[in-house]
This record gives sequence, C-alpha cells and structure tokens, in this order.
Amino acid sequence: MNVSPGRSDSRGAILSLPSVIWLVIFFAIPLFIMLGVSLLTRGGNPSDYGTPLTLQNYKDIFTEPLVSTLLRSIRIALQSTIICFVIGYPLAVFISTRQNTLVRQFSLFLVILPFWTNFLVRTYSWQIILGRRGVINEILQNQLGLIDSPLQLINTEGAVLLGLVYGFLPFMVLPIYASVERFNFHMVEAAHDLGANDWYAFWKVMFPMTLPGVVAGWILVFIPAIGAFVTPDLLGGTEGFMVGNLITRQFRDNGGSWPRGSAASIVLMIMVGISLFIYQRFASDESYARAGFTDRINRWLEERHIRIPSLLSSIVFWVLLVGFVVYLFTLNWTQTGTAAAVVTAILVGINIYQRRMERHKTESRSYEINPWSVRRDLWLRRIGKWGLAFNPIFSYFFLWSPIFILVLYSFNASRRAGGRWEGFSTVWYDNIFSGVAGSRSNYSTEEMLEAVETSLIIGVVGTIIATILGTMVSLSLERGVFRGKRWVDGLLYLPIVIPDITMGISLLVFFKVVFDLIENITGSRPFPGIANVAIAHIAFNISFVAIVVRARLTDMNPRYEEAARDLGANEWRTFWRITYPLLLPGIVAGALLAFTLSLDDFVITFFVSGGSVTTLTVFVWGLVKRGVPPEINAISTLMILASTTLVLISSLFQRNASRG
Amino acid sequence: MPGIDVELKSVTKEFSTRRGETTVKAVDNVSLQIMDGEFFALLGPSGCGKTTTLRMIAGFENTSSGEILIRGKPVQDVPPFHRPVNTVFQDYALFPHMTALQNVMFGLEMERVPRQEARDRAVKALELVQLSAAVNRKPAAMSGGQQQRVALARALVKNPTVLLLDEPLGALDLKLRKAMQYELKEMQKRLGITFIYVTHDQEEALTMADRIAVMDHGKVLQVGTPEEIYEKPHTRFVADFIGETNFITGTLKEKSGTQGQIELPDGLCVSAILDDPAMSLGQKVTMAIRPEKISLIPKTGTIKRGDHQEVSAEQALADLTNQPNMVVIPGVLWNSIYIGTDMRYIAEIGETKQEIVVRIQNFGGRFDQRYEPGQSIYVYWVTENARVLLD
Amino acid sequence: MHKFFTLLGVIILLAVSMTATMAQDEIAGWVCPAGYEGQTLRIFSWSTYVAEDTIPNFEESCGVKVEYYEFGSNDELMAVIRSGIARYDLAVPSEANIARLTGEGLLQPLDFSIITNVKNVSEKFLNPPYDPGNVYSVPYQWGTAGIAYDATIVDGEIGSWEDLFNYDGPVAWIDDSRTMLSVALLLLGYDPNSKNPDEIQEAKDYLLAHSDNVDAIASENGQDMLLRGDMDVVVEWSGDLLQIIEDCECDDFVYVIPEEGTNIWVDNMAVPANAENPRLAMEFINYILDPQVGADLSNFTSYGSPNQAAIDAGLIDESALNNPGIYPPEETLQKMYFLLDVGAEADQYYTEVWNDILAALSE
Ligand SMILES: Nc1ncnc2c1ncn2[C@@H]1O[C@H](COP(=O)(O)OP(=O)(O)O)[C@@H](O)[C@H]1O
Ligand SMILES: [Mg+2]
Repeated sequence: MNVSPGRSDSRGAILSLPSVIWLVIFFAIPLFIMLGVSLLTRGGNPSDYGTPLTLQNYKDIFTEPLVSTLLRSIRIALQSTIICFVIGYPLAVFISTRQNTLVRQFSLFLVILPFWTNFLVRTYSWQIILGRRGVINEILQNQLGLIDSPLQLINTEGAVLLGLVYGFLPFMVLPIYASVERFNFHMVEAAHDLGANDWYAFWKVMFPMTLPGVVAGWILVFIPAIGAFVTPDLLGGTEGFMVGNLITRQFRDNGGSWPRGSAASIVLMIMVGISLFIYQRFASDESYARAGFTDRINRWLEERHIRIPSLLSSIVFWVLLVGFVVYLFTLNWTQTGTAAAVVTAILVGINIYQRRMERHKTESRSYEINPWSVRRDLWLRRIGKWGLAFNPIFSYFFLWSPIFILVLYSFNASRRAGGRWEGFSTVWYDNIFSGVAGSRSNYSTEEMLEAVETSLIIGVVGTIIATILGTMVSLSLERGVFRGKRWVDGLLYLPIVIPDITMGISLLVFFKVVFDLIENITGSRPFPGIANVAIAHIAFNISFVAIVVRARLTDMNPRYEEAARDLGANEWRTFWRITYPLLLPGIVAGALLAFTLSLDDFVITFFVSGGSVTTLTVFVWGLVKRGVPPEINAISTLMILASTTLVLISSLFQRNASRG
Repeated sequence: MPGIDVELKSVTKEFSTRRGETTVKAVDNVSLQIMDGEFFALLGPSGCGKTTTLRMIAGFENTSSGEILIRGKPVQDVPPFHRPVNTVFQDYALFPHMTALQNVMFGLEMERVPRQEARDRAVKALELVQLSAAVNRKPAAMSGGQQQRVALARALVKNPTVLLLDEPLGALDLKLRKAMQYELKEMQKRLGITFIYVTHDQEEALTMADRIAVMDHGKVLQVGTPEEIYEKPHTRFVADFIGETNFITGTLKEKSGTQGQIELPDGLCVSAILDDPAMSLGQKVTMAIRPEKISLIPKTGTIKRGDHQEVSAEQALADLTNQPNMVVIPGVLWNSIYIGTDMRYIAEIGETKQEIVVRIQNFGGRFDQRYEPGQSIYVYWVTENARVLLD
Repeated sequence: MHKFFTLLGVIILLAVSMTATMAQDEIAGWVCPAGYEGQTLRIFSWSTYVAEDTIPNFEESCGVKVEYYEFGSNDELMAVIRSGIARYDLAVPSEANIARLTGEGLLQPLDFSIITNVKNVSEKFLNPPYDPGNVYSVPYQWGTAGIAYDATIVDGEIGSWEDLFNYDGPVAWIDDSRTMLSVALLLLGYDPNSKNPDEIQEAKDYLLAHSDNVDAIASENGQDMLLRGDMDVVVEWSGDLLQIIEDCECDDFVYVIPEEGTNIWVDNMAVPANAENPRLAMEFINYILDPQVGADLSNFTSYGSPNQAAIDAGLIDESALNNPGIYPPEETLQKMYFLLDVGAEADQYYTEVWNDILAALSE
C-alpha cells in the first residue's frame, strides 16, 4: 500500500485527539478532582472543603447506618440483575429465533421502543399502576372484589425492584440478543446428539457460548441499578433509600458534605471497576467465555490428584448458587437452609436413581431406552416450551402496560392525575393546546415549550459535536495504527459504563472548582447554564456515537478504501468519496442515538445545571416531584408520540440509507 | 444373516412454507432397511432430502407420517439424546468453547461415565483418528481436517449403534478427502458400526458404500450395491446422476424377454436390454449407454490394432457389422477433449444428429489413436450395454 | 405552533392585565418605572409560588423577561446558591437560610429607596430575629407546616402530632430535617431550635420509635400522595395542602395545625450577592409588596400574607382570613415557633441525623 506506516500513525492519532482532549478534560479530570475532594474535610458549608486530608469520609460510608444502605443497594441491584436475566434471556432467545426477518425486527422494536420514551415518564406511570388507589388495586378491589383493602404495592422495596427491572430490561435483552443471534443452534443439536437433554444442552453449550452477551447484560443492568436514584425516589417511599439518594443528599442538603458525597461516588466507581474486571475475565476472551469455570477447578484438583466425587462437587455448586439467590431475595437463613436442603435432596435422589439405572445397563452395543428418563426429559422440554411461549407474552405486557396506562389515563376526566377512572375527556389536551394550565399553574404550556426548546438546543448542538468527534475517533481507532490506542479505547468506553450519578457529580464538582479558579483569577464568575449541560452531554455521547460508527466500520471492507487509494485518490478524497457515503448510515444511527440520549438524560443534567437549566426532563421531574398537574398524562402521551415518530422516521431513513 | 439396524417405513416429511400456505415434501414415502454393520450411502443432488432423512433418524425432526425403527424399536417418541445413534455434522458442530478432548469427553459425561474412564476413552478415540497431538486445542486453532477428525472421534467414542454422517468430507480439499474416504471405510470395517453416509458425490458413494440409496425430490429411486446402481440404473435420473450417460430416445417396437428393439426417430432400429420386461410395445422409451462402453472407428483411413498392425477403416467396419449384437451408427465428430486418463469425443450420429459422448481410454504409445473434429466416424457398442429405461 | 401559543398568551395577558388595571383604579397601585425594557430577571423560588398573572403583569409593565427557576427544598436552594454554579437576581429563602446566607456573605443589602412599599408590611414581620433591621430581606409569604388527612378514610379526627404518630395507616412525613426533628424536640419538651446533640439524638429516637406507619418521605409532593390516595395522612407546608383542598371542591381533605404547636416559617425575598440585575430585583420586590399584587399572590397560593395593607383593604379572600389553617387565632400563634439558624455545625448534625433516620426507615 502506498500509505507508509509512519504516516498512518500520525493520521490515526490526530483524529483521536479532539475526543481524547474532550474526554480528558470533561470526564477524566473531573473524576480525579472528585477523588481528591473525597479525601478532604468538609468546611463551613456542604460545598466547602479543605485540608486536612482524611479517609474519614470513606470510614463514614463503611459504618452504620450508611453501610447498610450501601449493602442494600448492592442487594437490590443484584436482585434486579437476576430478575432481568431470568426475564431477558428467554425473551432474547424468542426474538432471535423468529424466522421471519420482519417479525424478528418487530419483536426487537417492541423491546426498544419503550426505552425511547422518557425514563421519568415511564417510571411515573408505575405510580398510577401501583398506587393504593391505582390501577391494580382498583381492579382487584372494586372490579373483581378479590380484596377488601388495597394492597400496599407502591412505596415498597418491591416497587423499586419492579421499577429497576422495568427500566433496565432492554439493557439485558439487547446484548444477549446479539449473542444468541450469532449462536449456531446446530450446537444444541450436536449436544442432543451426544446425549445431552435440554437442561445440559443449555447449561453446557448454549449458555457458555452466549455468556459474553449475558455478562454484558449483567454489567449494563447492575451498574445503573446500583447508582439509581430516580426510580427508588419515585416508587420506593421510605424503602427507596439507596446509595444514589444518599449521594444526592450529600450534594443537595443543607447539612450535606461534598467530600462525603464524592467518597460515596468513588465507592460506586470501585464497584463498577470490579464489575468491569469480572467482565474482562469472563467475556473479553475471544474464544468465548472461560465458561469452564468448573472445568478449571476440576483441572486444578486433578493436577493435585485430589478426587472429589462429582456428586459432592455438584451439591456444593448448586447449594452455593441456589442458597445465594434465595438469601438475596429473602434475607432469611431458615428459608435459605430449606432451599439448600431441597437442592441437596434432589441431587442425591437423582444420583441414587441413576446408579440403579446403571446397574441394569447391559452390553454397550445393544441399547435400552429408559422410558422414565425419556418421560422426564420430555416433561422438561414441555416446561421449557411453555416458559418460552409465556415469557414474551408476559414481557411485552410488562414493557408496554405503563405506556398504555399513561395514554389511557390521559383521557381520564378525573382531576387527580392517577387512580380512578371517571370517564372519557380530552380536557387535558385542550388545556395544553390552549396554553391554560388549570387553576394550579405550576407550569404553563409556554414554560413547557421553553423546556422543549432548551432540550432541543442542547440536543442538536451536543449531537453535532459529539457525532463529529465520535466519528473521527472511530476512524482513527478502526483504521489507524498508533501507540496508546488501547488507552484511547478504554477512555472511550468508560463514560458508558459509569453510573450517571457519578458522572453528574464529578462534573458538578469540576465546574465548581473551575469557576472558583476563574473567579480568583479574573474576579468575575461565569454563568454557565446551557453550555455546561451540552458539554456534559457531549462527554458521554462521544462514546455512544463511537460505538455505533465503529460497528459499521468493522463491517466495512477496508479493501474499498484501499482500492480508492490504489486508483489514485488521496486520503481526503478517499474519505469523502468512499468512506463517508458507506459510513453514513452508521453516522446517522449514532447521531440519533446521541440525540435521544441527550433528550432523555435527567440525572446528569440535574446535577450539572445546578438548577439553572430547565430541560424537558427537568421540567417533568419538577411536575412529578412537586405537585402533579392533571395534565401530566397528556404531556407524557405527547412525548411518547413525539419520540415514537422520531424513531419511526429515523428507522425509515436508516433503511433507505443502507439501501442506497 | 445380519439383522436390520435401521428401518424406515413409508416415511414422509412435510415442511410448511411461510405462513403455512403450501407444504414442501422434503422426504416422500421413503422405505429403507439398513443392515447391521453396513456402510449405507444416501446419494442425491442437493435439496433432495438426504439431510432431512438423516435428521429424522437422529431425532432432530419428527416424521410427518410413517415410522422409523432402530433395532426393531419404534423411536417416534424418543428424543435425540436417548437414541443410540450419533451424528457427524456437515459443519462438524464442534463446541468452540471446549478443547478437542473436552469435545470428545462431552458425550461420555452425559452418560455419566466416571471422569477418569471418560478421559481414557476419549484419548483413545482421538488416537484412533490420529489426533493425539491436538487434544488440548480448541476448534478455532485446528485445521478443517483436524476438526473433521474430532467430530468423528466425538461421535465414535459413544459407541453408537448407527453412525450418521452428513457429507462429512464436503469441506475438505480433494486430496484430503480421498485419504479420509479410505480411512473412514477402513475404520467402519474394523469397528463394525453401521454407517449411514450422506453425500452428493456419486464417486464417493460408489467407492465407499456397501449399498446406495439414490434420492431425488424426496423419493428414493433405487437402492442397491454400487455395481447394481451403476450398471443397472432403473431410471433415467439414476443413470444420469451416477456417472455419465448418453440418452437416446425412441419407441419400443419389438420385445422378447429382456431384449427389445428400439426404433430411433430417424427410423433406425437398434436392440437393447429392457430394464423392465413389462414395458409395453409402442411406448416412448429412453436408451442409456455409458460413454466408456461406446467406441468408434473412422470412416476412412486406417486403424491401429495391436503391434504394428493396421487395418483399413472399411475392413474394420465390416468386422464390426459381422459381429452379432453389435450396434454401429455413422456420425461426425465435432469435439474432442483431452482429459488425461481418457479422450472424450462428442459426436453427432444418425440423421437426427443425436449428440453422443464417447470415452476412449488413453492407452498411449502404440495403441494411441486420435480423431479430429469434423472427421466422419462410426460409433458402435454391444447391445447388452444399452439399457432401455422408462422416462 | 409556537407563534400560535404566543398569540394566545398575549390575548390572555391582555384580559388579565385589564382586570389588574381595574384593581389599580381602586388603590393607588404600583407603576413600573421606565428604563428596564429588554432586561432579564432571574428568579429562584418554589414551584407554584406566584399567582398566574404575577409574572406576566410584571413583564408586561416593565417590558422585561422573567425567568422563573424552581427548587424543591430549602436545602436545594442553599446548595445551588452556595455552589455558585448558577446566578440569580432574586431568591426566596426561608428565615433560617437568610441568616445563613447573610453570614456567608452571599446576599446583598436591599435598596429601600426603590422598595418603598415596605410600608405595607405588617409590623409582626418586620425586624425579625434572623435579619434585624431587614437589611437583606423582606417577607414574601408565611405559613406553617401542618397535617392534612383524607377525611373519607381516616376515622375520627387528627388534631395533633400525637394523633399523627399513632395513626394506623399510610403516612408521609415531610422531607425537611429541621421541621420533623423540631416536632420531636417540642414533644420531648426541648427547644425546637436545640443545638444539643444529645437532645437531637433523642428526637431522632423519638421519631424512629413512631415511624411504623411512615411509608414515604415527601419532598414537596405530599399533597399529591394524599390526593392520589397513596397516603391517608401527610405532613406538608400549609399552602400546598390548602391549594388541593381548594381545588378539590370537596370536603375530602382537612388541614390542621397540630395543637402542640408547629413551625411557622417566613419566606423572604432577597438578592444574592452575585446577582446580575439587582436593581430590577429590587423593583420586583417593590412590586410584590403592592397590596393588590400581594393579595392576588396570597389568594392564589393559600399562604399567609405579610401585607397588612392588603388585609386592611379587604383584598384578601374572606374565606382565607377566616380559615384558621391560614390565619390561625392568636392563641395558636402563641404556640408556634420559628426555625432559626443553628449554625453550620448543628446544621450538619441535623442533616446527618436525618440521613440516619432515612437509612433506618429504609430497613
Ligand atoms: N426446516 C425446513 N423448513 C422448510 N423446508 C426445509 C427445511 N429443511 C429442509 N427443507 C427443504 O427440504 C428439502 C430437502 O432438504 P435437505 O434434506 O436439506 O436436502 P439435502 O440434504 O439432500 O441437500 C429442501 O427443498 C429444503 O429446502
Ligand atoms: Mg444436506
């Protein structure tokens, strides 16, 4: 090729530079500043800090009662991860095994679309469903008469769990879907052929082979779940006090402490780090996960000539696993013990039975089909089939009912934003469209439109910059060869896996420090507003754009570009004539993703804006938190309509783009 | 007398196409009996239903109708993991997250063979396929041939009653394929395991199988030994699919026993063997003659016959026409192709200019006789070599 | 679309300002001095804390643009002002926060040459302990923290904190450390503004001992929980609760000032030290202190008005004046207390104790 390695070096590095600078300044440095603040002592008011250096903030977190909040958050995050997995895996299998491409795309679309509607709105909808006079209680009590007094569903830990599962289920489904899609179902047949029933074929073959997707799903659910503060706040009542709420209070309460809040965020970061380490160990290996975890233990024992009966080892494995899950959900040692005993009994029973069967086994060439085990395996298969058939029905109902309820209740004549159905009415839409907000004008249509405008400005500006930077860094990473590439890679992925709250707080601390500095030097303090928020959005959107564009680039044959250069085009023209047109669908998809994420973001905006910028999500938060106007359902419905339209248009555009 | 290992009784498999509007009969009313220890080949063009047949025996597909018996027991309700058959998949389907040894041990683990014993047996199976060196490698780090051997060892270590092989050598290059054909055949003889071997390569089937079933469009057209299939194909399709064949259509004029007189479109009458003596007179029939069973002489000039012996073309023609049961038809060569072992000539014969392929072995040296395109010739064959088939 | 809304807005504005002009005829009202056209005023205040026409009228009269930013708790206000990330011209801190902000030099003195309407303010609210001489603040609205309940569900009456703590059913407390802890301190016989850690600890234990019925800690949405039926009883600011009672046009909800006494609070208008447009802020303060404007405001928010002139002129709704939840009788007023600044150290202690309570409640 006519590109010398030396030239390609510098070209690659230069394209990375803008993103690297951006991410170092607005992502890495803030994290380090936050780390620094976490080691300082609180001053006269929450945002003051100074010497002496201390580890007291960390000690506080690891002493009662904060440590139990931390542990509870880990527990709830783990629970939601497990539930997401149990629901999400079969759903991903269901979707990826649809033969008809259209059906498959539609099934996937049904999972993603709710995710495109505002997070706050969807969570708020659960308030309507779970309330003491909410939809469920209304049906059970007044329609069906099954209960005398309303069930306490909202303001419980269960509601938090439900909200988290609801919010993060797509994060579990999508990576698993990607893995299962690539999985060759021939492998299952091969396993069957070698005598593995459905249970073994799944756990020994399919599961390990799809483990990278599963682990990615676990991480993508666990990390945001542990840093969540919106869902617990809206659904959990007193039982919704998680680390995220704790951190928020340290930054927003009169007696709070930025150093301690920073320390809590650092603890969150450490947990994220541990998760990533686990991911690295289990899923980064190209030759699939080191699924043979038990195999490795076996080998280790073998090398030392330690023989453990397989019955014992499987009992240990299953008792630990089942015991852990049961304890996680019940926090009750008696039940955990019972579960462990049941597991042991089942395993021993199976073993005894199998021994007896083996004794009857005759010569190897003639064969006996054991009717009992055939029946058992057929039952197993039937259960699996039922599960697989029921799961999508349940999942889609689960994903869509809050949206359905919101739309339905936007036509409820009742003045109360949730609860009882009091007849059909379009009065709330009329109110919105006529700009009148009813008697309690804690919002007005104009105010809402201003919020929309703010969101759009931030979204458009942020998306343009993030898309340009993200595309450049993708090109550099996919096509360039230079030193430090792995560092750029790492830097690029961190903003995705870091909890929103950590990023928001680190930027809050960062801006405060920088503004203090500017004030000290120039004597006047800048008033940031929209710019702060846009900067933060760009910082996380560069990474998302890069992921999408890189995916497209890896699929793209570099021979095209080489051919163009071979035909005499210089690099500039090669890019615009060849790479860019081919890459365009990826760039558009990346930009749309960035735009949606920007519109949807609440947590980072909330912290970074310092109360000075009202985006649409901040506006909705205000409505939900400070007095819900009856128009909220109608507003939410309009938002759903808008985002759905946006998605539909964009997917149409993408289809055309990839065709053309 | 060996027993029947696998029996298919009128097995049919229908697939419904999209939206269930129409159905495709992938396997159509197939009945087969496969003997114990037999090397049985399923041969047919791609899409004819071979794989589907195999998958029904393995248990991956249910039959739409009909019955499958393994060692006399119906296996309708037996899932694949309880059937005493194992498969070597076309794409090998090796588990990518396991080493060769783990792949081979997998089936034994499922049988709950003790770990140490399983290991020993797996190592032995890998030795059998000459793969002792690669036991701890994962499939991604193995060549196609090695993967193929692992797949074989993985199935064989289970000691199956029947081993199903779905085009196991399809992905290998020619030389390796030939070598493996030989090895497989040897192994099968030694182990005495029944093989059901799916292939679309007729040569492979002919060289390896004890018996062959030729399939087309889901139907079994003919079952027999390689020789029967080659020498006495019952249908035009079989004759065409196995080896190369010239087809000449005509009408059955006269018959006596298996002997028949066929009138060709240009009025010429030739005699041939009737595949089915029950054919009725006046019926449209096809006559099939293998190219290597046809020979030719020039119309003019001389012919080499043995050492330094030459006869004139007229003399040679007279010798031929004097022989009984000899068909001689004039024609013109229009193409000759050198293919190493043979010379392949294409001639147009008779007034209808029927195209016919003739193969003459490349004797070389003094027996060598070459003909040029455009040359007038006579083609001739012995009547027994021409078989009359139904269309 | 936007233009359409703007047009509508203008029409509504015109209608509203006509009524305002009519009112101005009755009282020599406030007139905006010239010279502010095109300027912007940034206000940082509670949500639902102005009447529908308060801001449009001001914008109209002065030809300025008002940006109204909201906070959800006093602590949030403090956090934002202190962080210096945002800059506002006018903030509405509560009494204790005035003292804190003054102490930290975050407020600037008011210009009473502009705020001439200070004469309308009731004597009772002038020269308060947290801002002697009203150097930095003038009162905006005042109210109480009290209890509201759903009378259709609650058997009998709830008239005291004792009743609240012993109620059997879902209850929401207000998410304000000082307010809730001061109740416990009061019931324990201590100073509601105690700085004594032992007493505060005791208050915490008292609250935790009476927390079985607590389902949520509401920041400012207790009234919604009550309205939705998720809570039978809530502790909230009087105005939020009185608003829904008024909106409901029903007898479902009752607001009570607990008989043991409760926290009386005063929100004040103040100008942050880093304000960009302090003069316009002063003008706005003067505008709010106008009797008609003040009366409109209080009639909308259902809070108490410190504007004696408005009360004397009969501009405040009769029903409100007669509502003991808004203007409690003198004997009740005697039992009320201000939450005063207790200093940074005690502040932090209160917050820590409150966080401990939240953590304990979540178990
Ligand atoms: N799962 C299926 N669904 C629908 N049609 C199928 C399916 N499997 C095979 N077929 C059809 O059945 C016919 C036979 O296929 P197959 O047995 O794979 O042929 P072969 O192995 O001989 O090439 C083909 O026409 C194929 O398209
Ligand atoms: Mg096939």
